[in-house]
Amino acid sequence: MPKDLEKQIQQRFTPAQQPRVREWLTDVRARLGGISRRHAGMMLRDHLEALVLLTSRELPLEKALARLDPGRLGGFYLSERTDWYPLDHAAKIYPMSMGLKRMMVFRLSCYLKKPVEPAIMQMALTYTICRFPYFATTVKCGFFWHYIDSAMRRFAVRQESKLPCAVMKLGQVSSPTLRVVYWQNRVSVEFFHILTDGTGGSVFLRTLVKTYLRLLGEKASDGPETLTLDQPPDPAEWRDDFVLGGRTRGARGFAGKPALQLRGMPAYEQPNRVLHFNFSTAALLERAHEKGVTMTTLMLGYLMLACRDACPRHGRRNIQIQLPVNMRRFYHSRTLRNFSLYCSIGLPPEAITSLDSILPLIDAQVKAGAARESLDETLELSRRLVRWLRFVPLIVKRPIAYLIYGTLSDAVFTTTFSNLGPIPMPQDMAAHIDKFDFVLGAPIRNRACCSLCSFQDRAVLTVTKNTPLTLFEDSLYRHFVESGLEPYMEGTS
Amino acid sequence: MTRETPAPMRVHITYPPGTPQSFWRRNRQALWRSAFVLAGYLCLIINLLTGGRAWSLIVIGGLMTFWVTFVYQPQVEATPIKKLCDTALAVCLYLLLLDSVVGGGWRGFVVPIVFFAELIVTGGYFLLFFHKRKRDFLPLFELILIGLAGTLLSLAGLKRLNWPMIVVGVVSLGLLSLSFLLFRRPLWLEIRKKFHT
Repeated sequence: MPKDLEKQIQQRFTPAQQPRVREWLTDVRARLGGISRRHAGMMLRDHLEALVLLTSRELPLEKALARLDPGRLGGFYLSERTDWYPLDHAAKIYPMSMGLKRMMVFRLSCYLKKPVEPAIMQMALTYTICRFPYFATTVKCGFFWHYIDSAMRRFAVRQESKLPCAVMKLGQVSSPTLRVVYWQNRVSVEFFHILTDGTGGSVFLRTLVKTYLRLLGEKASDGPETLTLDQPPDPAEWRDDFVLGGRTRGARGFAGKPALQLRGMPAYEQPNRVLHFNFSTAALLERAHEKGVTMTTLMLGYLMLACRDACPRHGRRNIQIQLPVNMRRFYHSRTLRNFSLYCSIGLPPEAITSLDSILPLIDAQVKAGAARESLDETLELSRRLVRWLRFVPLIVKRPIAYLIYGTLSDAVFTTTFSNLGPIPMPQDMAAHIDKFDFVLGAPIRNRACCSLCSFQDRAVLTVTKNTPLTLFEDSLYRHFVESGLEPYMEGTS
Repeated sequence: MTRETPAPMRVHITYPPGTPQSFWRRNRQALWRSAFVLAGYLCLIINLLTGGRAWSLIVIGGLMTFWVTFVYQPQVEATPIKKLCDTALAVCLYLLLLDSVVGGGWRGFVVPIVFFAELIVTGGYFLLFFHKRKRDFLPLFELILIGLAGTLLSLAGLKRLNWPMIVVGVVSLGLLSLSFLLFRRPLWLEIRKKFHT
């Protein structure tokens, strides 16, 4: 037993309890044979800290030990893992186009009703990650493509100290591709987009929160919203479902005409600011129904108005909003990897006069763009692109992808609006949760991007800013207030 | 009738205060890169203006070698093997450039010696710490393939065949055979990963 742990045991437990704790820690250590001594030491410390916390809450030692049963670790950390995963079709571009200051990262946060207990959250992550082996990975370079390789390490929960969606360091042998941070009552998981999309990420976050609540002794029932830790991982969860879908003759969808960009110099530190517009879901829905549209269309309407106010008035360019579409809507897919595509919603600035006048236009475009036939063509194009480029060495593909990614993605859009929709939770767990939010990482050229998710009566629209100029958010706020939807504002300083 | 202006947006801060980092620290790699590029361009311009031997190429090559060896950090797989292999290639290319500019005709002799020395160091490190380093073998594998290709070209008579070139071939082949002989199964798995399409 390491000396510092032995000392802690002697300080924190009675002589009668000490042999039982030592026995338990020995059992834990026996299950950490596959990871380095340093990481194993840290994990032993995690276990002990969690045990101390639970027993300090008047929980009998045996019950606390049962909650932190080493059996939960299974064989995950016991020996070297050899699993690896090729990147899905959507993810292939992300590692090729990343730079020192640009990386496609997104964040999902859950706000609990009580402050987060870091020691318990750490244990929750240690157990949860075993159920998601494809998330316990690191990026590696292949000769033709990047891939994700199993990472034998401790996955850490840290107190939040950086800006949301900061660039991850991936250079080391087992650098993780996700980050779990906490701040007050908020626990956030930041994913490098190669791992998953918002849907997959939310399943991970919900499962993490369920494990956390259970470790705290709260009731958190299993349901379709979360994964069960006792069940082995299902290969369908890491399948690349871009191969699904009918083969279409047409293949199009990526390139487009350059769009108007919002005003403002790009900030040196990105994202420059993150703002959360908190609404009542019922009020938003009521407003959407009043106008005869969906919540997505309603939000797109407000974003169009704000973009019009924040864009320079010259040229013939349109305001274009990128709208990601969850392909699981069309295909029976259980994948937790990326399985979303996008469509484009565009209007010329002079056509944007009032909310009522643009909503029918946007609604028609959403219906057409997010239709299966149209997305199937984009799906086909992505498949063809991957097929054509499969034998081109990475060393050739990477610089080209880096250069054109900004042109193909950001330059043809003014902003992005990603609606994750309502996040379902079992009733007993919902009682412990205040809200969720969803933050997109800083875009490359766009000055802002927006995301929305809701939980019960809390809908949170998040704006990630890339410029210190406040025209866009000021205008958005004004339009909301003027239409009687006064949001409660939160964000970074 | 006048329209009431909405109250200004009041944002409640729910994030920790950012930890300030100095401008120099935050942007050190970009600043280094700018300094190197600037120095390279300056040398080129001065050399073009003053004429004479192409000494600016030697400086630019030196800067690039220094960059690859000491400054550049790849975002993915910044491993010792990658660094050793990148350095080996950069030094060999620099030697080729030096010989082309300064003359002397020693490149066919010196470059293979440097190359096989680097191969021995990197290969030794790889084999010695195989279990820790097996996932980073691609750069070494590429170096071995370059070595084998060079030797084959010499054997085919397309390049001068001398003893350093033969040693390059022997070391490359030896490393490859030894790796497969000792660690066939894990190495096959790694090759499947690295060369998946």
